[in-house]
Amino acid sequence: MSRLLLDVKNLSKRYCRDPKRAAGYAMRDILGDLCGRTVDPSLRAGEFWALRDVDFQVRAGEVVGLIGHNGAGKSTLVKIIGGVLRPTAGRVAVHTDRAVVMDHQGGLNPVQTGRENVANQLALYGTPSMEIPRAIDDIIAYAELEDFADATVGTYSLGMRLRLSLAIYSQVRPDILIVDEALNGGDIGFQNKFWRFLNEHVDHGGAILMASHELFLIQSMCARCLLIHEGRMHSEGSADEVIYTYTRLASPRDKQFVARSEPAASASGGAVRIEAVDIDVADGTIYPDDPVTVRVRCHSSEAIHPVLCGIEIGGGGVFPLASLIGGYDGPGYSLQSGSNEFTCRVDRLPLAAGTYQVRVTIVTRDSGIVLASTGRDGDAVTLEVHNRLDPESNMAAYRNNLVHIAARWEQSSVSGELAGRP
Amino acid sequence: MMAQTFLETFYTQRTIFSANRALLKRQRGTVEALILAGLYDNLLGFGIKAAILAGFMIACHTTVSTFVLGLLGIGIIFLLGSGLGLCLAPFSAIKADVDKILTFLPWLLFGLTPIFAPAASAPGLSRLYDANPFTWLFDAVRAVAFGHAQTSVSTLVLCMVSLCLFPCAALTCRIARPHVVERFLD
Repeated sequence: MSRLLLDVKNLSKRYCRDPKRAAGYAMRDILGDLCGRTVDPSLRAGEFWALRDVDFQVRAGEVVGLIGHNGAGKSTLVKIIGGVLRPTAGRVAVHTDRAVVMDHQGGLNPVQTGRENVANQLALYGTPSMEIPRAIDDIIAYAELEDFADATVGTYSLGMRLRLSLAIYSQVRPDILIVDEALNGGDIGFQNKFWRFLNEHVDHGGAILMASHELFLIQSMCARCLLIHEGRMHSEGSADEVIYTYTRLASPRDKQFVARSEPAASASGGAVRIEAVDIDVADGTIYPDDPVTVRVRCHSSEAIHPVLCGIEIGGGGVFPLASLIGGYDGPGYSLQSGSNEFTCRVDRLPLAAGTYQVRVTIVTRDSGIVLASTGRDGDAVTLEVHNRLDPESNMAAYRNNLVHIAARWEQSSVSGELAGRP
Repeated sequence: MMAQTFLETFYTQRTIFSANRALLKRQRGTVEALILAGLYDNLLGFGIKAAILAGFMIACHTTVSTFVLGLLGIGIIFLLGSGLGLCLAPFSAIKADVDKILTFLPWLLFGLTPIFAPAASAPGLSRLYDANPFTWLFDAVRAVAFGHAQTSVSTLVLCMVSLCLFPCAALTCRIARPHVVERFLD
């Protein structure tokens, strides 16, 4: 088994929401530390657990992904590992003195020039002072910032800062590189360079702990992945499994959002009343490309002819994404006095994983007068499409794709032979 | 010069957290470097003052031994200002009110020393002067420079306090760093 580089045990961190109380707690904690008092690992008024009982290890040669929703505790975890913050309880053991945290600011001082920042960072990571002047030129050249080396870093763009910090860390050659969303803001050239650097780093036996929302990067780089959810370690496993769980966790949040966005008002009144909209599926769970049947039951107080029954589906800020109108290609339907049912069968639902809104409207065919509608006012109808446990579905869910297009891929060699891939 | 030295050193060290928040929230172990950087900065200013002081002393035919003792006295103020500034740096960074008070208070105390208003001309002020710790500080430094026997004990105490305060205060800052940085997080 390879060398243990990072060992996190029962790590907990509390934060205070109230700034006034937080200042008081900070002063009290400082005085407590000075007096040698042990920290009471319980919540005080206004506090919450940003991290709770987190355990994991990283060994040499491993690439571990760290994913979770915004506010889940990833950055707090990275800051504790980096030694910037102190845990409330538990411990972090970093078994190397060459652990580097790379965040989107690159740890650079904005009031110093690029050259000064490089010198400081190299000195901080223990580069011998004799080697620093030569290393500065190499780093500036690697970052392709020769023209800006003597400008203050505060005048750099985010991408330039990232390039400079990447160049510094490529020189420092850390044992463990902790990356906190460092790719955001970099251009395509930087991303390719960063990608190559990470691969070379792992090939040379380095370890990476990568906190990112770039699931494509996580999926392609990480053999193992950790999911932090509401401050706790929700799951740990292969990248595909954990990303699948992560996207599943997102669904209820989307659903709540859809429900909240609907105003609580009364449903339609009048001669026609939609009583139920049922979405039927074979095994109770809808996946992309599944056959789906939507049944609309309505009650009419009189016979009306001709009418249309429309189903609109929307999601991801697009509404309608699709409209299915029953009776439009013919003379229309006839509503009988009493109960009526419309059935809409979709053989292959071309929606990607996500939560969608469904609105049903019954209108007169000739004048387009709305007789009844639902899914709009207070009685939201949602259609939840789950993603399958495969990398393509995970990626589609992460990218918030709305449409799923089933495709077959194949690659042709120059000689004309086919290397098929389902 | 005594007042300026004290205020410069006090201010530099008192603001090590708030002036370097961008660095502190991304790097660990930089507090000691920042303290040293502040010390070097103040030493440079102190060196310039010492050169001016030397010029005056040569002009006034002061003996070398008096000059050296004078520098030693200002050195004590240097350490005391740095130590006090470091002691208060975490609290100054955490509470904006403390920061504002500490910006104003030393000036007020210096205004109430016999340097700015002669004690003899205002008998009512003499009690205030006695209560002001800075008066005591200046008297002790003068004692170092001029060898006043009556203040030798207080001078010794001042030297001891100055020497001990600085490392203790630096340790306080090291312990306080994570708590202060937590307050800086965006």
